[in-house]
Amino acid sequence: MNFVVKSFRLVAIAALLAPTASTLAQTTDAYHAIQVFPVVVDSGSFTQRFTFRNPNTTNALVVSAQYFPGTGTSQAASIVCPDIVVPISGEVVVASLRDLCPALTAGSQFGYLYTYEKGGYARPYAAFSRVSNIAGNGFSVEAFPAHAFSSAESAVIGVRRLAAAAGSPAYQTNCFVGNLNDVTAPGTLVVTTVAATVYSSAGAMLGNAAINLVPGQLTRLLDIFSVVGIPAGDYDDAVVRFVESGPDEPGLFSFCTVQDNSSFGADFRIAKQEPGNSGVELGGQDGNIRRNSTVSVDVATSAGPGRAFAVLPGALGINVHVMYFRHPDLVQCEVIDPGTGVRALPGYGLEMRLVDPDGATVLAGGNNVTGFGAVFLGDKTERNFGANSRYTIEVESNGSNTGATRNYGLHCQSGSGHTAADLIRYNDQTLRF
Amino acid sequence: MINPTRFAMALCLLWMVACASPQAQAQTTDGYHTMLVFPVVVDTGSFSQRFSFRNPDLANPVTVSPVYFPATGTSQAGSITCPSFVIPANREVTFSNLRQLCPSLLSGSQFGFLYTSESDGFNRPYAAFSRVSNPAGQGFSVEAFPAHTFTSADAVVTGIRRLAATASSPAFQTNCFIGNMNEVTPAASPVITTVKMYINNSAGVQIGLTTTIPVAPGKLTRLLDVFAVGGAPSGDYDNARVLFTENGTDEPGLITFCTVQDNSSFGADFRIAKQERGFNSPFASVGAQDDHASRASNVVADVLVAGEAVARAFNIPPGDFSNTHVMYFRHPDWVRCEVINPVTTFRALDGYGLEMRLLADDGVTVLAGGNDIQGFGPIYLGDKTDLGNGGNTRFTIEVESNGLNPLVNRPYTLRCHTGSGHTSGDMIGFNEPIVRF
Repeated sequence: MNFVVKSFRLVAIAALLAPTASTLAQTTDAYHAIQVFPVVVDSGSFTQRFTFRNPNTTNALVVSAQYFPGTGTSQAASIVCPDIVVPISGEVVVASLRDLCPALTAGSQFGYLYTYEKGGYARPYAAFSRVSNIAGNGFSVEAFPAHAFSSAESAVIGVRRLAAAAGSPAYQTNCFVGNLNDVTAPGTLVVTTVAATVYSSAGAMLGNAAINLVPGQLTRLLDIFSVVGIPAGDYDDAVVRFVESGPDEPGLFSFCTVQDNSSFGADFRIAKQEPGNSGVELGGQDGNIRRNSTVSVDVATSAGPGRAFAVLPGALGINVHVMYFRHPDLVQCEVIDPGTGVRALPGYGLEMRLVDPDGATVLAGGNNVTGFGAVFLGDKTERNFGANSRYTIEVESNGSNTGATRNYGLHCQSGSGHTAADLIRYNDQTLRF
Repeated sequence: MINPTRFAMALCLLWMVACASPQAQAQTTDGYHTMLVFPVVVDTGSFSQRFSFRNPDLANPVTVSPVYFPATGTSQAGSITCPSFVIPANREVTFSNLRQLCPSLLSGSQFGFLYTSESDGFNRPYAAFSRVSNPAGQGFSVEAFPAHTFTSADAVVTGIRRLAATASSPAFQTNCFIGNMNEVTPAASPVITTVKMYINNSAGVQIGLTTTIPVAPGKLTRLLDVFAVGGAPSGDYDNARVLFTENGTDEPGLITFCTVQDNSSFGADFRIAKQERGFNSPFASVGAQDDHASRASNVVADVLVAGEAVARAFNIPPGDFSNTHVMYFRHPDWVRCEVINPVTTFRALDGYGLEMRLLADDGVTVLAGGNDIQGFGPIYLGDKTDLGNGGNTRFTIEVESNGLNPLVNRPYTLRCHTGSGHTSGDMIGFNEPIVRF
């Protein structure tokens, strides 16, 4: 075969497979009832082998799958694939995407796969796949829980476009943006616009492009540097940022593959969620695991708006907040005086402390303390039998406030995220420290 | 001239080292933390590992401190505290190899794991990524995991194989690894954790022997050809699974994974072990050992509060009273909850005198439950766009008297199941003298 033609075919295969990175794992927390493979593929050269595991020791589970084609492929619309029954404490292996979804149109196809437990029991399962050619070369694609995809701004780092040199191959970066299908679809599909912007290793903006997506759509941006209009040339250690605009806040999944154009090896880099929809708070769009929060009211209930964080005047009065942290981690919290916007002084009349899940061990804070700097929560072995757990933060009168209600904000920062300081005791007429 | 056999052997030997670093590994979209661990890092004559660290903070730099922990059997005797480095605001820092990151690394082929942490004391999260490759660009990627994600839960890797070569396919081999996270506040005497390993074939039958592997904190042990280590009879195995269980009371953060390699191209993939069942937690169930994300919970009391002898039990007094529980779910997901009568251990009947409902975080929208309802089957919380302005959020569950209990206290268990996990139903309203529905 003509070398140029052969190379072209390999490039074409690599370009098709580019969405399937060299390998993709997710996290150790992999059992969920709704799982998404960000990319699935079936071509003449590559097959994707799927493994579904049911950890339940007493019940089988039924997994339903739906394939959503990539933009530009010949598959016109999504396909509801046959159900998969995973036996008790067992696995089911499906040899290819075509076996999984027999109605798939002939020819090379790629898209994403949405799966869920269909039995109506919310039984979690894990899902894994391996893409390989007959020689065993390939890559792995694991499934992500559907909830992990949001409209937070996100970034992929270390991308490159390099021409071949004497000692190294050419590199190319392809990126992909997907919009998760709606299960409860509105009457009119909402088109979401995502801006993809490329920055140089020095932080300079090189170019950008806007991509419109409807739910259930996956779009490939072949050679992201070209897509955003960057002139020819080498770029190394660049950054691609994805920013959703609009009020709909769908579940977006963005990723890039950096491939070398000699061996057509590639890797997969899922975009990391940076600020959430607040625009300023790092660490994703997830109220369960905030990195830097200032909260001053409780969750709204049917009784009305959330209760304001406040301690009534008098020598007595305490609030207890429950906080979920993920140890080992560093945590810092402080009581904010809403009048100044900064940490309350002792004269404001409040004090605080952080207590271990055992309800006895004081980890930080105490008398006349209104905040503490980063506290190491301990190694895995040191808290709650090795499981992430909940803690309490007590905010009470320090005895110097007899005249006014003291509203406050509770400002906390953690490295791996925390909840919103829900009030489990409110203005108890006592003091605890 | 290169002898093809020797060249292949040399590649294989290199791979035996490099196989500790899998073909590629991503983690999750939630990639910013202040303690990140690369489960494996490598430096050999043929492979270098390129590291990228990103600081998303627009205004402040971040200082990162790495510590290298060598794998058992490598020539590096002890851990190395590597030089700290600063990532400027909203920028990245790249290291071209492990040796540049940790200059005092002993010469020769090395592999182990790398613990990194933000050392400014400001809790500024960062992300970390690495790419291992040879000069031809072939290699694999290794991303960093947050330290908290490693626990002592039972963990499983599926789809592993040992296959002899055939005319049309290469030989496959599976290597597994067990690491024990370093302790930042170490015990006076390091606790040796015993991990048991079981291999089951595709029919679910255990093959070989139960193998016991001791691992001290800060150690990483490789199990080369895990079928051989596990004492499996010779022969082919496909779609097998390996289970790791920790034994003992210490509950450390264990790092377990396998690589399935083909012995022709020496390609491989990386399969992090999935936490299948957490133990030693009152909410142990399928899923991670993480009370933030219980998949199935039966909770009867609140968290213990300082100064109180016992945790506040879930209970409704006689008359018109209600409790309000706050729950963090992760949508889109399915949720089912019910009030359990602790005497029967089944869903409470009407006559028990309780009812329940689930509300969205607006405090108005009733998602499930209501009058004289003690439980609801899986409900779909909604698409990402439907709730919480597109972010995972909190919900409330109200449990109250249904008017049929004028005389006695009604303790109850709040049982919930979710597909992606939930918190423990903390009470933000307790025995309020009102009924709301």
